This record gives sequence, C-alpha cells and structure tokens, in this order.
Amino acid sequence: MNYVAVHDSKGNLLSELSPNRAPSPWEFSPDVLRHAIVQSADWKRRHGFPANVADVLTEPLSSEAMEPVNPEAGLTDAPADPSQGQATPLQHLIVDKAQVATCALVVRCGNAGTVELSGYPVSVYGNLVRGKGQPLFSLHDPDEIRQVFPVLREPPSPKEVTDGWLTLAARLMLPKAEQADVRFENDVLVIRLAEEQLGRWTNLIALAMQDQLYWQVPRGPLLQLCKVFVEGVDSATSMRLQVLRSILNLEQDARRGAIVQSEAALREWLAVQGLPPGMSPRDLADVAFRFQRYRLAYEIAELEDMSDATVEC
Amino acid sequence: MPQLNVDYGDAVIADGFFLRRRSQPQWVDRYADGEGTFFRHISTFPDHTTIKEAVLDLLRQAKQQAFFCNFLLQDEDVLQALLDTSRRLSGHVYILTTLKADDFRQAGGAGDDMEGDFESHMRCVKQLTREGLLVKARSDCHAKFMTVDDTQAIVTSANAVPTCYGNVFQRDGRTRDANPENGVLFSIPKEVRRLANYFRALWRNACNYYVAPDPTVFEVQQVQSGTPLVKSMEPPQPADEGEVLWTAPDDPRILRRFLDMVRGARKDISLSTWVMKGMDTHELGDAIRKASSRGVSVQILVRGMNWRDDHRQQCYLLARELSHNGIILGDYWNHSKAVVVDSAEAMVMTANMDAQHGLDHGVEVGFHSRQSSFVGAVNTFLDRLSNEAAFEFVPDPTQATMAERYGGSRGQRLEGTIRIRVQPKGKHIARLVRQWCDAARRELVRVAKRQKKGRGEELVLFTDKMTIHLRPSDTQSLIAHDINDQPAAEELERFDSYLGRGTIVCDVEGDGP
Repeated sequence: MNYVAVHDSKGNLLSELSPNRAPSPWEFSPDVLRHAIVQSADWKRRHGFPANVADVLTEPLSSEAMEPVNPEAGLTDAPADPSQGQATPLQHLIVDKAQVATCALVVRCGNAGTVELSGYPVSVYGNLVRGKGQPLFSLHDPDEIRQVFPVLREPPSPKEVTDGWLTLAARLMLPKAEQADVRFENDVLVIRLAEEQLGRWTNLIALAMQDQLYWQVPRGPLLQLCKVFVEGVDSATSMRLQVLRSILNLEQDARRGAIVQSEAALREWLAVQGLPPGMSPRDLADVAFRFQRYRLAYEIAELEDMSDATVEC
Repeated sequence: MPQLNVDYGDAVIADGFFLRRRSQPQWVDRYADGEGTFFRHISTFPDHTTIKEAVLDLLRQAKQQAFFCNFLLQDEDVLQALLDTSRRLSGHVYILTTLKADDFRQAGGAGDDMEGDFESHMRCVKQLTREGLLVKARSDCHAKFMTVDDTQAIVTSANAVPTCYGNVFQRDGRTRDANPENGVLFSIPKEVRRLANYFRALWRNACNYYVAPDPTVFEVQQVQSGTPLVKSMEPPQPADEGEVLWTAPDDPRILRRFLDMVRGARKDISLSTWVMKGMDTHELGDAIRKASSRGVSVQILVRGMNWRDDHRQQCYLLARELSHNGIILGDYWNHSKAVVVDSAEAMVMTANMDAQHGLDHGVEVGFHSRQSSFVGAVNTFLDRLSNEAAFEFVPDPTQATMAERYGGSRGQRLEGTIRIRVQPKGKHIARLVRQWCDAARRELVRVAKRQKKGRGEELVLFTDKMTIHLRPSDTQSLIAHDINDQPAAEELERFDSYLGRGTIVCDVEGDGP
C-alpha cells in the first residue's frame, strides 16, 4: 500500500492550500469535459459523469441553432414558457471556480491482479480524513491510473529515494553521518544509526520499529511514501535497537500487566527475547525511558526501585 | 453644648496580640549551621540559605534513584534539578506532592501567595509529567523530605517554593524576605533506609492520585479515596545517632516523641512552629502547660500573624497559662518546626503544633536525636530565631500598650486630648455618640486615614463594631460628619494604628446626648 500526497503545478504541497485558497493563476480547459463526453456509458457511470451531457458550448450559438432543444437528446427538457425556450447569448461562457481537495491516495493491489486507486479527502489543517472514510474518487483501470499518475508506473529508484533523503538532510543541516548512511532496498529506506543518534531520534526510531514511519519520496508532482527501517551501525547499537524492539513488543503485549508485576516474571520474559544474558530490568527500564515509553519505564523501574531496602544494617 | 469624655488607654483588652518586643531584636551577625559526622543542619534565613543547595546537591549526587516528597513544588531550580536527574538516570525519580486544590486548601495552603499558589504548583507538575516523570499524591501528605540511593536523606520544613529558600524580589521592587526554615541532611544508613522505605510504602499502596508521564496528556487520576494505611519495612531498633519519625494513620510517632520530650523536660523547652491550632484541648498543649507550671521555661516561636484569629486565639489561651518563665515570640515569616528540650534532645519535623493536621492526622516526617552536636545545631538555629524575632505575644494588653507596640513603627500616633465636634445629623445622633464612647472605653480604637473622593482626607476611628468619620476643622477639634453602628465588614479591616493614650472629648451640638 502506498500513500501519496499531491503537489500543485508549482510544486506547493496542496495541504498548504485550502478550498478558498486555490492555486493561482487558475486555468481550466473545456477539453477535459469534451474528453469525458465522448467516453462510454460505462465509463461515465463509473466516474459519476452525467450521461446526458452532449456537448460543451464555447462559442455563441447561431440563430438557427437557437431552437428549443430536443428533449430526447437528453440535454434539457423543453421549457414550459416559449419565451424562455432559447439559450441566452451568454450561455456559452464557462464559469469555473477552482477548489482544492487535498487527498491521500491509496493504491490497493488485489491478489487477482486487480488494482484500485482511491483518493481520500484529508483536512488541509492536519491529517484527519473527512467524509467518514469514503473516497472522493476511485480509479480501477490500471491504464487510467497510469494515465492520471504516470509516475506510479515504476517504483521509485534507489537514487530517487536517497537523493530525496540527502536533500532533506542537507536542508535540516544534519550531521554528515546522518546524511549519508541510507540505502533503498526492497521498497524500504534503510537508515543506519550510530549510538549517539539513538538519543536524538528517539520517537522516530520507535515509530520505525513499529512500521509506522514513512519517508516521502518526491516523484514529479507527488510525494510517494515508503517505509523507513532503522539498523545499527555496530553491534552495540544494533543490540540497543533490539532491546527497544522488545520494549515495544512488551508495551503491546496483552500479558504486560502480569509480566511487569514481579521481577521474576519480567526476567522470565526477558529470557526469551534473545537479549544479552546480562540484561537487567533496570537496563530495560532505562532504554524504555530514553525512548519515551515512560509508563512502561516506571512499571519496570519500580520493580527494583520500590523494593524495600534491606533494614538489617 | 453637651459633652462626653472618654479616658482612653488603661482599659485591659481580653485578647492577645503579637506586639513589638520591649527590647530591640538582637541581630545575629555570624551564623553557621551546625554539623556532625552523620548530619548537617540546614536552614534558611534572609541572609543565609543552605536548604536549597542541599536539595540540589543531593539530586546531583543521585546514582540510582531519587525519592522526592514535598507539599508544594514551585522552585524553578529544584524543578530543573529533578528534570536533570531524571534525564541523567533515565527516569528513577519519584515525586510525591499535592495534586488536588482541595488537599492544598485543607492542609492550610500556604501562608501567603508568595509562599505558593496551587496554579503555579500544577504548572510545575505538568512540566514534570510532560518530560516523563510520574507524579503521585496523597491527600493528607504535608511532609517534605527526600532520599537518594538509600544513602542520604533530607527532612525539612521548607516547601519547594522560592520564599522557603531565599529572599524573593517582587515586581513592585520590594523584597519579600525568606521564611526562616530548617531541616537536617543525614546519612545514617539505618534511618535513611527507614525513611526511604516509608516513601516506598506511600508510593506503592498509600497514594490517592497520580498523573501519568505523558508528553501530551495531563490528567489527574484517582487511585483510591480516604486515608490508606502506610505499612513500611523498617529497622526494629533506631540508630544510636538518631531516629526518623513520622505521622501516619494510627501511627503518630512525632506526637508521641514530642510528648515524651515535653513531659520529660526539667529546665527548658524551646520550639518553633509556623502556626498553632487546637492546642487548648490537645494533649501536647496540656503537656506544655504542665511543664510550665512545674517550673520549666518554655519559649515558643511562631509566625506573628495578628490577622489570623484562630492562631492568635490559641496563642492567647496558651500564653495566659504559661507562668512567668514562658514566652511566645513571633516573627514575620517563620515556617520552621523544631523542638529542643533541656539542651539534651532535639527534633526537627514538618508538622506544626496543629491539632487538626500533622500531629494526630496526616502524613509528616521528623528526625529526633540526642547527639550533642545535633542538639547544639538545632539550639543555635532556635537561638537565632528567637533573638531576631520582632514580636512577643502579649495577652490582655491595655489600650495604651497596643498603641505603643502594635506592628511596625509608623510615625506619628494620634494621642493626647482629641476634641471631636459632632454635628447633628439624624435623630439618633446622640444615642450613636453615646454608644461609640461606651465602646471606646472598653475596646480598642483603631485609626485609619482614608482618602475620600472629592472630600479630601478623612480620619476614621473605629471600635469593634462602630465607626466615626472625622474631618479636620479650622479650630483644634475634628468634626464628626458620620457615625455608623453597622459599618460594612471591610470598613473595619484596614487601619493604620491604634489610638494612643489620651482623652477623647465629644461635643455634641444641639440636643444633649
């Protein structure tokens, strides 16, 4: 599944626009409507285009042409009042008003080779999906999808991904090590982290480990999202990440309450996590705290800190 | 012209007040907190503070964990030190404080706004939880103590509020002097662990509320209601050097030790407390009265709060029963709590002499020792406190004594012969003048200068329930333009001084009184 955000023709992210702040200058081509009019009835049904639209007027009609329209042509009913039975001289003028609908595009690929691209409206002020989860539009024909979004024909190249990353990293003035150490493989952006980055990227790392972190790859007018994976540059960092993965698992574990109820239960759980044998509950609590899993950090730390000190002095 | 005279000054007022001492307070030039091998006394005075540094030092030294319990938390440096410690230790900082406005009020709140307000306190709590600290509260906890790594501990009277740690410079350019505060930093292994385990017991099972650590959500959650018991593991015997004591439900150790000390006193008792409440019917008050009656010298230092009727009333009842060798002193800002008996044993604590909270109920802590170095340190602290106390409590003063010694010196006093010309106004004027004069013969007359819009300055003389409004005239007399026997309560609140000894001559124009 890919999430795609849309750019306008000038490269602005449309989420920065609003229904009342349309791109400017705005141009509308009647050919878009003409193209729709000549499509098949099935196409019109699938795309919600009215079946009874026969033409687009862009020139004033001649007097011969200004006859009551044929109701059977499906354009309009015959007027009840004959004095109003003719098109007005200005009827050929197209009045268009641009409105921005920012969408998250979701591509679903079915097992049988079916594909569906849906556009879900999102709030321009955030990422809330409006409209009760109903897509604003859907495309099912792979050819149409490719026609509308040609950049989706091919997955992003590793260079596109890493270049996008490096551009952002340079803009954010990230340290050299953080700028360079990325690669794109298996549709995933892999970032290699050093020990000192663990302390600064806490939330992002946790999100990546929960498969909830995506990198935006600029692709023509779109931003295509790809998953981010983190790995350690050395064994120590890798081990820390492994501890974090265990913590994230514990956080979601339905037996969490029972596991952190006693030090013995926690040690038993730790033993099957594939962590180093010397790993203590305190070590686990410290990593949990550093990665902002505060509640879990306290639950674990209390096992030791809140055990009574020996009073046989 | 009918005339009424009042000889003012000799009537005894059946009440008690903190009045300026007969002799000037003796400022202590050189003061140093005492210390011994196992402890260091810590204190705050306007020119001296060691409590805050001790708190910050302990937090900086923490290697394993820090337990911090304080009724109020508003000092920026302490807040930052708690956050720093938490960052450095990756958590392991545990904070017990107040989380409900009702609990704040019921424990007596703070002395004044500068000593802490609940909103500012909660802002600090919010900062702590936002940065990952779990904060808990027990409704009746007024204790202020901390331990780190089960190796060092502090018991102190000081809330974590700037005025408890030093002078505070106010926006209007004035300085609010620091509260006198005291405490002890100790490293007696057995007693530190006793105190740390007490904290653990509170934390584990005896809290009412908590706020979970969360960068975005702040919500005070209730764990349980009521006053849960506090069961902690402790050493069977106290250490030779001293003993940690506390007040907890069904476990009033501070009170029991206090009573033992007072009942065993032979020569003298010296103690300090912020406030005195309910001592007229409490066994501690009874023990102090009995000690005094058997010849033990009693010196009590409290905050000289004339405005606080419950406190003043308790001081009055006790002061009347202390024999000639007993005295209650008052200062401006005292918040310390300590007792020394016969220079042989001493206790510092967080509990006040309060029958409603701290001795029998609530959660408080204290430290008691008979080690001479500790007793000497507490004695030195109390000596300075009493030497510098500006006030002494005077039961049943005369009107003239009140005028001479009430409050700070405020320049010229209204005294001598005062002629008042009462202009007839309303049919009850004669009766009202008579009533006012009768009250002035028995009660205290307060003098207030007030600026009246469009009428210039006026002088108001008021008794307990009546006011007389005066304007200067061309002659030597004052003109009364209003007498009120039902003034609004706020009319009787603010005044500049008490009327000095003299004679009040009231000339009533028109019909005689």
